[in-house]
Amino acid sequence: MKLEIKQLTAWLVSSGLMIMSLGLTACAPQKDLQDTKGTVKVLVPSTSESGHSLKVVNLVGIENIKTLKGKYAEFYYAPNVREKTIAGKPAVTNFTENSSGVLVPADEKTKQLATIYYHLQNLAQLDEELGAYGINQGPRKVGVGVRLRSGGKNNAFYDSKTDSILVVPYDQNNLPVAINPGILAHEHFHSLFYKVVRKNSEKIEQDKTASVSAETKLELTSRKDRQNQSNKAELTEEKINELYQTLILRSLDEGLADYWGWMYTGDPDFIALSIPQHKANRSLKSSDVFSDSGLPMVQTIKEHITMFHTQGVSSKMNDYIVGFSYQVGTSVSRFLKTYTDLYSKERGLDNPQARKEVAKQIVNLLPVFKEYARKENIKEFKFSVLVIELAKLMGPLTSPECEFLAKSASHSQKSGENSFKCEQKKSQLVIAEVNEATDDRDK
Amino acid sequence: MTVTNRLFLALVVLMTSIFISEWGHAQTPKKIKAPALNSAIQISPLGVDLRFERGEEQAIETQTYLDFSAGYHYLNWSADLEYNQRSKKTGNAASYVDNKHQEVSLWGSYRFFKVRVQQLQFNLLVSGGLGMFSQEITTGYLGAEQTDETGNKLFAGLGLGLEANYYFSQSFGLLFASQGRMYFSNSYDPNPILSVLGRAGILYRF
Repeated sequence: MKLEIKQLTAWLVSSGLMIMSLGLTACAPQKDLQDTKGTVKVLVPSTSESGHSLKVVNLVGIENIKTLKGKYAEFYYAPNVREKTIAGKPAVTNFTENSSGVLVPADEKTKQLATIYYHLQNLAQLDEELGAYGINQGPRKVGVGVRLRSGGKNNAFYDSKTDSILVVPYDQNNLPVAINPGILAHEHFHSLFYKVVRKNSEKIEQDKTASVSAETKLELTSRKDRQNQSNKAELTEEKINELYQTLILRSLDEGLADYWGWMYTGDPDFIALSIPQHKANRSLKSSDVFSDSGLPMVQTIKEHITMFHTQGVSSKMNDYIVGFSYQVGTSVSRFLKTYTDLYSKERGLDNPQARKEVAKQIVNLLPVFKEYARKENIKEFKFSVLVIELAKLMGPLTSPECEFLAKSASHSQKSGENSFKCEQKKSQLVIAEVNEATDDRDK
Repeated sequence: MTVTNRLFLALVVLMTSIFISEWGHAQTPKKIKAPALNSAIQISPLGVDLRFERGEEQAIETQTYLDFSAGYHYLNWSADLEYNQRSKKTGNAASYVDNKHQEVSLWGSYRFFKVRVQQLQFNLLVSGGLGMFSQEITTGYLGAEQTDETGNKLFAGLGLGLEANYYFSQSFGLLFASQGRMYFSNSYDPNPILSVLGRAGILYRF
């Protein structure tokens, strides 16, 4: 009996000690990260003109550090992307606090979430600076670890149906797409382009997503949609115009988005950091924009459409168009980069400032593209429109700027169409359209 | 080879030599009665703690911690000092996070049920522990690298386990133990973390 009392006492003492130890831990004066809100100091990777580094930044407007939901972004892990909704569990972060009170991501996924938040915050602030304030509202929805039906990897998308950026898993040994600042800026621009140019315009339904690479598609179209595509075998004039509309809008979207990536990072090869196989065809570097990568003529584009149709399977027409739009888009981004470098040199501006100045005018150009995006107007669109409208917005041009823009505009006209040249008008250089026939007679 | 690895190897060698020596004695026809546990020290260099923590892919995954412990036993009680460590690298060659976790804890155990079968003794025990952990995190990004250390953070634990002691002499025995544990800390995800601990070591009775 004595022994039993002893044992009972031992049990009670040990239980008391255990409860005390648990209580001590639970109420320990260590900071609970879950209470962290507002402005939070976080270690993130950074890419700037001077190179790659790790730096401590402020993430602003954080409401929940555990899910990293805040003013600028909210994250979903492996979400279900349905017709108009993105649903799923919020992504969960794993931060730890270093001795200086900075939150350090304790795993790569958390580092990626923090980096995405940081760049979306920067891009939103940049929108204000560039005159695009209010186009995007509320926190940006971001799906990470998005699983595609095709199993596709190494890509990011802007999905206009859900107004979200979707990042699929990355399995290469280069910079993951999720933390490539240029690619995030690229996807961010797609949201601006969609909301200003494409939204509510007559567009074919299959064209609701834009990505950084044509190799992986966001397969959200239904089987019925795909069957309908394959039945459209005959290439009528109307169909050519519809495909032309798709191609032009996609090319502008991709080209300007690539420019946005360069504008944000200063790296003309930002895509190749994550997807090296695109280095040659997507680099914004160009030794001669008037070579085969110059702004294309309408005639050339329509010939390509007809050629794709003749050589390919009609059901794959949309894939051909998407692939070709990246090629045409690269011509657009190379043209804009070459012009920006010239603008920087002519105006004595440092390159980042020059990039922002041109980006401001791109924002102003978007409503112009919206007009052309309407089905009845798209037939009138030529790439010279981009050049001439940009020239009008850039203010008084220097002679080399004017010469470059006039040459670019003329390059995108087919032979027999009007060309462009610089003229002095009220002590300012402007680009004037020249009737080829009249010009020949003058000579 | 790090100091920890050297220490680990030395203990394995020591344990193996003691085992072989004592095994020799055990082959003699002398019948050994399993001694009643009075005072003993134990060293368990071979331990693995499988903890169910939230992984990078957001699901609860098994993380493997190496466990080392040494302790003093008296009657039904024991006090053990434990050291655990885990290293986990996520990401790829261009962008990665290398997370090294270390912890030291003190555990008290009470053996509430014992059964002896010749040289074998089985114990059921409950345990409670208190400790501190710290992390060293190395972040890499396109050639840039930075290492951050966290301060020490408190944690507590509860356990329920089964021990099997095999005595091959009056003084020496082998210890095999398994415990189901719960670890508590407001830095853990989930909180508490559940785990299954397995360890092997030697006992020296005096």
